[in-house]
Amino acid sequence: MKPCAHCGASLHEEASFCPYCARTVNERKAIQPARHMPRRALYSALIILCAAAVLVLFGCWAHSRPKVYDNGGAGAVYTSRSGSFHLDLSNWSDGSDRTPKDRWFSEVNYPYRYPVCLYVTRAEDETRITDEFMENVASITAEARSPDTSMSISCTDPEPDRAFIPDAATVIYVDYNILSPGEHEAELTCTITMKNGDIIRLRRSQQYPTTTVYKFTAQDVPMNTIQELQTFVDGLAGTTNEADRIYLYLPPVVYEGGLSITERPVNLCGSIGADGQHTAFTGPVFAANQRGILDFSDIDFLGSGQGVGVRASNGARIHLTDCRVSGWETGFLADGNAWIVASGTVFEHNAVGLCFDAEQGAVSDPYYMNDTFQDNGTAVLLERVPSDTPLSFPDTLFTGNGQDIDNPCGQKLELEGAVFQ
Amino acid sequence: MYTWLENVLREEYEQVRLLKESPRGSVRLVRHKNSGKRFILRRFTGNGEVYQKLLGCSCPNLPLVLEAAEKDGENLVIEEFVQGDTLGFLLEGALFTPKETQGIVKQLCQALWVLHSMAAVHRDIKPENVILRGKQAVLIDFDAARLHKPGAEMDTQVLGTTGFAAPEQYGLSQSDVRTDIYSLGVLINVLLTGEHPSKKLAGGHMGRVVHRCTQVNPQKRYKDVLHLMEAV
Repeated sequence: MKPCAHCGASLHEEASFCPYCARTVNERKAIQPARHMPRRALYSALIILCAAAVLVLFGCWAHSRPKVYDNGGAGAVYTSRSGSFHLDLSNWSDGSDRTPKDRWFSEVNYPYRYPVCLYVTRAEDETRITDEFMENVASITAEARSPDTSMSISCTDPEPDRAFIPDAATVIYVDYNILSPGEHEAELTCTITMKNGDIIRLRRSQQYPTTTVYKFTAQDVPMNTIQELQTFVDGLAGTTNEADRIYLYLPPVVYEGGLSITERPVNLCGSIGADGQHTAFTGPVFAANQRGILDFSDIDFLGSGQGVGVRASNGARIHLTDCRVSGWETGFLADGNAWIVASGTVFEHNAVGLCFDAEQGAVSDPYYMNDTFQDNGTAVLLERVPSDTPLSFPDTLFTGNGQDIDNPCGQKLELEGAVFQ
Repeated sequence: MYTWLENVLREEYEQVRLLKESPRGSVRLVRHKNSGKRFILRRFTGNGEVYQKLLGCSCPNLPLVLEAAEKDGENLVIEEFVQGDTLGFLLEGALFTPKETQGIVKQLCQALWVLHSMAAVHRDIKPENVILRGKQAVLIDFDAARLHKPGAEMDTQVLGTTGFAAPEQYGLSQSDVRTDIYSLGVLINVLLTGEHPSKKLAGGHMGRVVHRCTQVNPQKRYKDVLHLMEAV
């Protein structure tokens, strides 16, 4: 028996109710009737839940999946865990001026090659961080394509060219040949695949208008004396466009005196007469204030021990091909922000055969191929070279010189292939 | 316990009215002499285990079972007196609208959910066993109720009210929760039409609910009262 908690009456041990005071003595569990969620509401909730789950999964998936950066342009800002990088696919010009050159004036049926560079800078402050970016790169490919059937174009695989263009992450050399006059266009696409799967596409469109080529011979215009030649050269600036290419086919005469080319680029092509006479200048040839390249070929520059045989100054770039530079105090000189290069050319009997004394500027071809430096006081003098690009002398012969290469500026050199006797 | 309770009741309570009497037992309205409180006193022969289960719980759609005692198959139950009218009484005046029916059926489903969650089957759902206390429907009379025993093949006794009992209650198979769903379907139809669905099926949506509730094959009925509640 047990007592009632309310009235104290004696109750049966199993009693749930006190019949004496009519009150319950056991504990009860209030059962809340089930509220069934209507199937429609259940389905709606499930659909919303599923949609939310799908959205979350999609968000995670979209966040984690590789991204494709392709804004159709040559520049992009790529952001990864390593930071933000500014990528720029630019035509290389001279190492300091990366202003896009969207129009390459080109001759018809003339093979061209030019480098296109991928530059990488930190987005915040534009400092170069090539290595940091390249550590995360899986591969880089390039494709040059033109819908224009009257030009052929291709490109090399992207590779760093630290020797030639050290500040570029990678370099693509574009080769093209215009087959007919007119405006031509092509696009270079560089695809960078990152190790995390991200893909960056940079596209550079390029126009290739053909230039007008003027070729003049001694039969066309009087060019038999240095005065006639100088007069004609001076007059070209006012009658031709800057993009036009001018070739003067010089007769096999000896021009007594020098030539000054300061208005516009002119290419000089020498010749050999029936008697073996070469086109020759006995005075200094001087070029300055040029934006293009001046090609001089098959010409002898013959001095008498004084002065400069061929001088490039203030932005001029002179290429000598199969020439002879002989008997000068300085045979071939670059000063100002100029550039000089020679191939197949003989430098002999000069106090200094070739001299660089130029500041940062119009960098051009650094390959001095198949040249001969013989019997010079100093074959090559490098006071100042306007580029860190190593100068290379493949298949060039140094013989009989007092000093083959004097390099006070410490310019990098590649002498593999050069012959020293 | 049975004898002790019977003795105390005899001393402390007085009969107000005999509500029902049958060969199986009786239902009386009694009053506690000291407090004047009224209770329902049930005496019946049979299985009283459902009342034992209900001792430990309370639900607004079920009467509060205050005491249950059993001796040699005789049961003595004290339960709350639910003041109100039975649906059977109310049906004598008028049928119920579909909306009223829906409200009643939902509450009965909740009461049955409590029973079914105890593995109990009421087995005698009919208008006379539902009391409307205001707007609250209370399911009463668990004399025919029994606990569902998985594995048993058929009911050992034929119980329930003819017309409201499901086929399996007549021996086709063991009663389970779908037995009550059958009876509830019949109840819905009676509330709306006053007739057994075999005579006149209610129209519209509720008619379709009744049709499904009263399928002969229990497997074709609503799976449980929650599904029925949703359908209603």
